[in-house]
Amino acid sequence: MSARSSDRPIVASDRVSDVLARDESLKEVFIQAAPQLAKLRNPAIRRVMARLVTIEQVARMAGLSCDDLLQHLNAALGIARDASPPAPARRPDEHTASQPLDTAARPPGATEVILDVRDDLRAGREPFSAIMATIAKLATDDVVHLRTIFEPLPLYAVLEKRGFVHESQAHADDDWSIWFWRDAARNSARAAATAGGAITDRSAAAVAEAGQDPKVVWLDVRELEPPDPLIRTLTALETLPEDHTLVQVNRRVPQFLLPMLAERGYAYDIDESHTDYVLVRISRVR
Amino acid sequence: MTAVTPPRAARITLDARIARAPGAMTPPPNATRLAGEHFAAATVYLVAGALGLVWIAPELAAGAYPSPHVAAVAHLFTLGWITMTIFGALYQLLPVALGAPVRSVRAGHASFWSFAPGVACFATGVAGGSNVLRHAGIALVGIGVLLAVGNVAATLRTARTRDVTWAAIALAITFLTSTLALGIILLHNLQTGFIAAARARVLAAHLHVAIIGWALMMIVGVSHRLLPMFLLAHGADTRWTRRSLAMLASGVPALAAGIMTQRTLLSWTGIALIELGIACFLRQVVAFHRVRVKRRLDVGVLFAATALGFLAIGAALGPIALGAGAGHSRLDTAYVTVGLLGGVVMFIVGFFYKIVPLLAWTARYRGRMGKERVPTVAETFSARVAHVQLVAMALAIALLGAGIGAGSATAVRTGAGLFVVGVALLASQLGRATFGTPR
Repeated sequence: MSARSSDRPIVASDRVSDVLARDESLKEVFIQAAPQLAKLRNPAIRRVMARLVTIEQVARMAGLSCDDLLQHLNAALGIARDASPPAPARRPDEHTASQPLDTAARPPGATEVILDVRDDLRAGREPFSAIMATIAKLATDDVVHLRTIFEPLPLYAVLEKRGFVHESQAHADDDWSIWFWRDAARNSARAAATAGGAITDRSAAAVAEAGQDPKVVWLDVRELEPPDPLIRTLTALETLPEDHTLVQVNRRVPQFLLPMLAERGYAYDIDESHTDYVLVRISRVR
Repeated sequence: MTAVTPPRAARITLDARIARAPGAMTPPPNATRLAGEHFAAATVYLVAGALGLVWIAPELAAGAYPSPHVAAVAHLFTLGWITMTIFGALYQLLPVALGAPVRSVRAGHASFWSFAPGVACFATGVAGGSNVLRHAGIALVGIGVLLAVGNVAATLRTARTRDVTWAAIALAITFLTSTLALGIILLHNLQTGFIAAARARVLAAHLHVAIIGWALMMIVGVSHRLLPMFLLAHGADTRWTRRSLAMLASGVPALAAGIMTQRTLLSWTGIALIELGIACFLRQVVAFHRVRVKRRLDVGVLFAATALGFLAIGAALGPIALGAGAGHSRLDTAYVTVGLLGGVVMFIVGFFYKIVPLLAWTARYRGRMGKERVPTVAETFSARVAHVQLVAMALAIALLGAGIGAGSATAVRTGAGLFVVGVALLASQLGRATFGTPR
């Protein structure tokens, strides 16, 4: 069947990789709409970037109206814009901040850890693990200075959940600096907010209850393939304050993770009382 | 859903974990080693089986499936590769699939050390016509199988969930025991000839119980758990697995009984049920595929998908072979070759790519995960080589099937040679994932 035969219109939450999988020539539509997206012609960059960003995020990166970009893309597929349904609701683990997360200045006198992933991205290598490893080793007051070839909007959401705020600066279309640092004052509020978005079918009362506990950090790994849940959880635990609890939301009991938790001195509770997911509450053994 | 804080969840600390009761959820730490030794031996037997294919190419092309050489090589695949891999996978995956760690790791090792040399002994004895080796081999294989079946059965008793995967494993190990019994009858017949003309019928029953009752039933049950995990496909209609298992579980005994008692209606009923069972399984896979979140299929899943194509071809050949009756030995041989090597062996190779590098990666990097950057699982082997292997093996099986159908020893030998290339690439990949330096 032809890739163009699908009648489903492209929507704002579609990932660029899914759009290009339908018809790779659509990259020219992106580039025509925003010449700064010409880097999509590079297969290596396309491979990494396209998987990470949604149409809505691309539109923001390029300073375009998302509706206009969708209209161009759907028109190229021969789908009338009128046929497009409204964009679906966000997934529970998806980025919720469409505006800069913080406008405050970077902490003065902080140690700056520079991580340059521009060559990795140009070579088509996934930089996420390296970034998270750097974040994991960061001292409380340090600042990470990340150099990339595009604005890493999805990363903002990931790090926001860990209590990081950011500031970004474009030196050129393919040269960005982003600084991340912990904002202790906002962490408690963020933990509550993240808890609210972690599980879709939780009642409002339960969300409120979770939101009241500032020492609980939620990590939803239901949409990740093994071994990503394992890595993300262990990475998150490395930065978890001693008196905090990490709650992993999984589809099943993470059997490979449990012995590793025990080896690293963590205790865990497993709550299997829910139909569709399992909660694993992890904290340090005191 | 109202509870955020687990109401009565068991708190398991390090000490409590060590002192856990049987049936608790943490897998025994040495189950990975147990699985690893099974996977290593299985790979050796796959290489031996592939080389054996080249050796028996002329006999395959002639449709001489009852020949001792063909029987020996077939057992390298069925016992050495398929059964060994399934045992290893069960030891590793029972905790994940059923929340039940393997009942006895020690019994698992004992089973392995009986079964692994037993397969070599048995295959050598069958190929060389040595009674001593055959009997020693079947004794070791029998002990290994019974220990493994007992161990798995005891584990199933403690399982926290009794779902379709649980039922599939229970049914499959029952069929494995039946396969062993039929095999012992055939072996005894080699010496005494006591079943006389019924030998071909018992052999056909043995084959179908082994390949469909044991291997395919296990594949259907395990896929029900693993495919959604590999494809990130949640929310699919999963009733097709139950239907598939019901059809296969009733079809296999019906077909076996029909063949052995020469009741045509019973045989056709059995084969119809099996066909429906395979169709339901394929429908289940399509259902998972449709709801998947992961858009790009990795090489392990591509192997499994290719295997399903061969399984469908094998399923189409089954009724033709039954309808043609005796005297069409090349058709029978092509049917079994495509179903066994294409449908089952390839499928297991696909799951091997998903499971073995992950286990090796976990064992190598478990102390460093989360603390520093570690290579991804995909970086521990070459996806490009794996794709070349997939093409080589798919072509090999197509050539083997066509060559046997046409009676061309050259085509069969070429197919067997390509199969060897594919298997050698797999072995190199596994070696690289386990011991090599990641990219």
